[in-house]
Amino acid sequence: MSEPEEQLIERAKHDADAFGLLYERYVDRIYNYIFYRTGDSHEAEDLTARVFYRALGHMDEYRQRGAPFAAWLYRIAHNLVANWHRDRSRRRDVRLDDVMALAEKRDGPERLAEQGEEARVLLGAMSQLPAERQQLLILKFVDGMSNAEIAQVMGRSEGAIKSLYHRTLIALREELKTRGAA
Amino acid sequence: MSIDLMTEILAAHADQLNKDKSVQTDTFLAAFPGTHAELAPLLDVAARVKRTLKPVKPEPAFRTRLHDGLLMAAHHQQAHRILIEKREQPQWGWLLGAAALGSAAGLIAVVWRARAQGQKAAIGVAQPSAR
Repeated sequence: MSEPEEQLIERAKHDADAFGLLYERYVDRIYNYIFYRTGDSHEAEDLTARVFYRALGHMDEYRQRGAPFAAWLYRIAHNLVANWHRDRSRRRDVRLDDVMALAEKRDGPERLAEQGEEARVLLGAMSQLPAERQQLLILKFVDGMSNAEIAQVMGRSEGAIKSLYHRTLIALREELKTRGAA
Repeated sequence: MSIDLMTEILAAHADQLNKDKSVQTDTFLAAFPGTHAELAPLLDVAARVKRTLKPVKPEPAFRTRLHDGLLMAAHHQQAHRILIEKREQPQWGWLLGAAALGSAAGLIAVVWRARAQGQKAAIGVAQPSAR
């Protein structure tokens, strides 16, 4: 049986191997989140590394009575991605070619051919949404988080997340309409 | 239909999508008569998002490289912390040594002074008889 998370976190504050185990638990999720927010696998690698180095440097400051550890990591990731967009004055839309290339590796070319155009249009429309709405969709559908978990990551109530999801779907539908793909 | 009800239905649908990818919009909406026109387009958008946003995996080489780098940094951080803690602790050995040395020096000085005063007194006693 794996070690309970709370115990592992306390150990990771002074034990390098315990931090390594936490890394193994969360690296894929954090990478996914950043990848879909930047649309670039190289930037996703760079920012994922920065998230974990920052977490390592601030482990002493993490208190278990606050947000769960995953939420803490996602907040670090969210702040770094926001800085990345701001500092480099990049466009917020994802680089679709990179996303599609990874999708091809994952699903195979035949599957991609079926879904390629739909995915391109949808990712393009999503990239026009405000950052918090993109974040919500990624946490919900890539990470499969519940509304309660998303609320902790985004620092809002569960009800507020449900409302935001509703508004996000309406906005995305409007965006798809303008692209003739509703 | 109230906005709150729509919000709850959309949230329930998203949960269903995460549990079971093959949720049919019509089947789902059958439980909520009269909502089809308003909700069907939004459920369709949600299903498309779910189909498109799939988990991706980082390159194994990147994962390993970052793991090793983090472990090295964590060990370094640990060693640095131990060093700082040691520095902050009082160095009892040095303190005791310095105290012993100080006491010995003081004792030597007292003895030296006492002997010097004894010699002066002896000279003082001898000199008047010479006059």
